[in-house]
Amino acid sequence: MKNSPSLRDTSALVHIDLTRRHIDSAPIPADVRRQFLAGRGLATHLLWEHGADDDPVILCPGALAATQTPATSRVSLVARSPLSGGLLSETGGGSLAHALRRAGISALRIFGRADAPCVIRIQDQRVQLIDATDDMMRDTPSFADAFAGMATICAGPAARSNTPFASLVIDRHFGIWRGGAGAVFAQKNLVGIAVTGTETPQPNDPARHRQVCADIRRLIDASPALAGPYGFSRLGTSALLDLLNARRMLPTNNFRATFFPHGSQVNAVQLHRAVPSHTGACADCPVACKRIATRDNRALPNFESLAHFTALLENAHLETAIAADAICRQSGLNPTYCAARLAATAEDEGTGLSPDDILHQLHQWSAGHVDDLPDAANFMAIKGMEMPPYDPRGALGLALSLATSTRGACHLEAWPIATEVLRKPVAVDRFSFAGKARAQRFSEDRNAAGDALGLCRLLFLGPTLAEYADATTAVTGDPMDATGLLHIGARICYLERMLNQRFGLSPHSDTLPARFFAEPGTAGPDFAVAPIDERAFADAKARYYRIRGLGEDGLPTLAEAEKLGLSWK
Amino acid sequence: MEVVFRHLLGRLARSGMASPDDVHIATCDDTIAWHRPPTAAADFAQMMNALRLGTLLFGAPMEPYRTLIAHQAAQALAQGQDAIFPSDSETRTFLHRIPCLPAFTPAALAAALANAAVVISAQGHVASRGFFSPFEALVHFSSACFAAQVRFVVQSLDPPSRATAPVDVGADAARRVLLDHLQPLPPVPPQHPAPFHSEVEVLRAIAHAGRTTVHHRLVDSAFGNASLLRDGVLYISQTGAPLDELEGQIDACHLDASHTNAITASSELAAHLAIVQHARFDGVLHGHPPMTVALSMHCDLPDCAQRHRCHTHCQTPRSLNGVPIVCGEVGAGDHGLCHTVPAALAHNDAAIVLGHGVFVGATGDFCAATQRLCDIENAAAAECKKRISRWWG
Repeated sequence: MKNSPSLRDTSALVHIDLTRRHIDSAPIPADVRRQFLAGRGLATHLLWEHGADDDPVILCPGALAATQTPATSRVSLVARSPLSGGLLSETGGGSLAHALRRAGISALRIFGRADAPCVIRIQDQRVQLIDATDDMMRDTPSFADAFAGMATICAGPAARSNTPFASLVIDRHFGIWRGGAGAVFAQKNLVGIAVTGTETPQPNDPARHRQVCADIRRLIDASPALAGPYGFSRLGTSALLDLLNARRMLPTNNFRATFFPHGSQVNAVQLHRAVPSHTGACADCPVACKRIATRDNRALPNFESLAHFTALLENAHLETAIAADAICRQSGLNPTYCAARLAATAEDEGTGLSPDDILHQLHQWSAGHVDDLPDAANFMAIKGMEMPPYDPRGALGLALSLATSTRGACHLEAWPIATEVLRKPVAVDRFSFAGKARAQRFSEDRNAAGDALGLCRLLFLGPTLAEYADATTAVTGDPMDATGLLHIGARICYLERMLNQRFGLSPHSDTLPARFFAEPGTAGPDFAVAPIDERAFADAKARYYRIRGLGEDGLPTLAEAEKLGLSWK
Repeated sequence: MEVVFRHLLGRLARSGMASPDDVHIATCDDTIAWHRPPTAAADFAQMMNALRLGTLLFGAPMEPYRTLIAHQAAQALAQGQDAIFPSDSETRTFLHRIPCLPAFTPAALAAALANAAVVISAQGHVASRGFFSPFEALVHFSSACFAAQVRFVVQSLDPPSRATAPVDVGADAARRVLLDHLQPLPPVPPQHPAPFHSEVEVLRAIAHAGRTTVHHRLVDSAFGNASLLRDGVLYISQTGAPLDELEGQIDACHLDASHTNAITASSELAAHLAIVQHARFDGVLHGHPPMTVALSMHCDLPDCAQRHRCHTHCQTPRSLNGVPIVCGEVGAGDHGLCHTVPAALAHNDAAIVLGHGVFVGATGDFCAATQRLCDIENAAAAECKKRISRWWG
């Protein structure tokens, strides 16, 4: 086992040309590290630098991966989205980031297309391309089994039919679910990646690092949503279902209602009564929000999957939702996209969906039968990405952030759920646009910086960027504060908008499906859920564009790019 | 924006934190609005933009906070330290350190607030920031005042021979100001009496008890919590809810654990649940009365092996006027107070968590509990006054 004295200079950028089956590596320039850190920052920079030809897929662990800093094991993936044609930028959990860092790798830049299905196998800095076998390609658990003891990420059989809503599964239980990342792998004839490494990164200042980690853990313990009796560490993220239902924000019947009367039959409590489970965690995460079924070692649905396979489809049959989620995980399908398409088709056709209808269609898609996928007029999506299970009429900061997200209907880019619903770090008025543009800019910058560190978004329900800035200083030895991280986050966010412009994705798509401006949600016991005021929304969007340094048309400007130190070639 | 300013200033004044004429508040979405622009407002605005702040609140707090803060910031700076490190629970958990500046200039504040939520100055001023809401800035402003007061009282409880801070003229003056402000609290006003016939009545009783707790200065800003049980449902204040504005901020937590709505309930939900399920109480009132908190942190065992982790590891049975002092941190972690407070309340009507606050059991309603909390603080204040006067004259 090797010990590296510092994380500053140790790890490499690995280029993998699948067409020529050529692999080489290079160090990450110091100025790039300073400007973009690692994770999402480095990945976005590499995508920008790659140019417009032969779109690559880039994977980067965060700067704090494998340092034992709590909850910093997210890996970032960026590519061109098969859904929107714009940017695909996602993070995934599990142990992949941890393994990449321990293998001494800061970035994988994969481009070209293999002439046969292949796998990238990495052991420390030894990178190989091997042929994928039928066993590896059977389904996502089979891939994990084929590389037992290694961190894995793979597309499933659903991806290999050019399914645009195919996902990537990490370590069997985790994934990069939204945005069509599985299709990106499939376009390259890449089945998956398996990684193991033996380096043990050492913090530059171990004593200070221990102190900061203790501060972070104390804040996690003090957070009701993370560690309380009904928090994610006890019940997984499906604990959100009751709360969203009570707030009249649970999308029901394809967003025609925002309250599911059968919610108590399919909530987290029922899920855990129906299937005994234990916790599962990403590397170095004390929250452990994943629930793993004890009976078959399969992950149970997270909130997003559970909500869409129940309320969105008006399905009160919990076992169907569990089975639907399992099909998606096994075959590598995005569960929320599948549910949104099912709901839209049912509305288009004016029919309901039985449990058998749901499972039959999923089996069809998982087998790659997507060629005849009809257009769905009532498919609720932004920039091709399906709406997540948080109704924007019940939280106007969420409405603004979903509409203006660079990658589609993404609730995590700014993640206003934290303040508007979960009251952290402070509660705000969810039915007002006041202050939301500013808060969105801050949150996006903060979250982008967090992704550059590899930090799980949920952690901002407890610790703040200041604690992670201190951890960064202790790990790297380079002084860092929260404002410095915010500057890096701002650079990442702006570069993403520049990429969307390069890809031809117009800000005209920065809006919500018409339903949210026209129809009310379901009223609560003492409050109404009104349609969103279109003029107030437009005003808030204009404010956001100004605060973000975009032009009135929502496009990035050369002046702001230069201010952020970005070169626009 | 006027409404927001009025609300914030009203809260500062009512809680004895600051007068509207002594502070400046700026809020910003795409443009900045001041309730009272300071000199160099443009520079402060630039700083807000650079730090992405949504709110900046700064100025002089009321006494005794102003004097206590000025003294401690000046003392730290004189010793070459750029921050103070109060060890009360609020600071230890959420702030970790409070940076000190000689005075507030936009440039100095920009540097200090780059990695801190609140800063104090040798002039006795406080500056705090919010990213999402003006209330966030108020919480930090209030926490700094609370922390500085508690820290100074703890230092003053030791005799001069064991003083941990330099003995100087500034300290004497600060002690005089502190003692002048240590007046007994008046009896609490009548509370809504049991029985409660509806959920609405329960919610009203909790909100009233919360207001009383704040108005009697038995808790600061968004800390503290209150709960009451009715028909198998524990009604409890939400996390981060100010106790004097609990209307619409109380969660219903079903004891049969059939729903998870209470994921937004107070950080101390686990302790409240254990108390109403295993002790003999129908509810709980939790405040952070400053003199009780300070006195709970004072220890006569300077060489104790647990000296710097007594808030989680103290093994010595201790009490204040018959109320047990227990260890525990915020929340439900391994060292969480949910493991210690319910056991203490099995045999007592109240428990003090070291460096944190007081939990009082409520029977039926909050009539006795609010007064008990007040009595505990009055007794602690009298004891603090006696000890400080004895040692320091």
